[in-house]
Amino acid sequence: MPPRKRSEEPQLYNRLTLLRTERGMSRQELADAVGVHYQTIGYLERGEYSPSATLALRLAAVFGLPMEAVFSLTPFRTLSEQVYGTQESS
Amino acid sequence: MSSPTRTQRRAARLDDPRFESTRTPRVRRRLVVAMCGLLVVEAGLFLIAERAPVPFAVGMAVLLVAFTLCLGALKGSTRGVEELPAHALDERQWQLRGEAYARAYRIGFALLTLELAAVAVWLVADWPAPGTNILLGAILLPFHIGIVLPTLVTAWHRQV
Repeated sequence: MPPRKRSEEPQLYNRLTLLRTERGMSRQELADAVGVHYQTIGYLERGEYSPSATLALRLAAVFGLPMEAVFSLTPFRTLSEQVYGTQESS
Repeated sequence: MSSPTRTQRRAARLDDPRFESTRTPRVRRRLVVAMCGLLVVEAGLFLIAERAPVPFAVGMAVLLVAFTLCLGALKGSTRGVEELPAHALDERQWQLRGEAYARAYRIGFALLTLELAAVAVWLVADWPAPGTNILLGAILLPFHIGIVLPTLVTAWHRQV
């Protein structure tokens, strides 16, 4: 199988913003906890950068969650949908 | 607690929040254009060096100050991603640096090929030998471009 080009990489979805704000952490605090620049947390949260497996595991460990609870190749269900079973109106 | 290393001090200086105003894409690109302008002025000064040595010397002195200030601002705007060693960067910055160097290599290769082509045309056409000033410029300009090219490419990048 030929190597996949970077432009063909699927988008990686994450719940970093939700988990970070839920725990009352700033980007700087989360960045310090995983050893990256605070700017990188912003890029991760906006989905503009996909982390390495090591960084993804470190981020998940900070929140005490398995990696698949923080990162996914398919979009996460919204909080209202998960808690109340309501669909977001488009 | 051990004192910070030279690299850590350099990284902290380049990450200084006082440079924040230069870190927007618009300002970074303006700085890139300004630096390119300075390189063009430098090339122009080499052309007049033999005919007007005093304006050449004064111009070079002014240019040196402007060059230093502009390069300092550019490096602050990129947080020194292109010059800091691997252990001072995180994985995203390291990746960005790799992309910037790959692009700078292609641009540098194209510029050097153009210069080589110009020399070849000069020799084939049997034009008169250029003056010392032109030769000096032909050596110094690529050197200066080589120094600033990775910084220019990094600063032009949208996500630095």
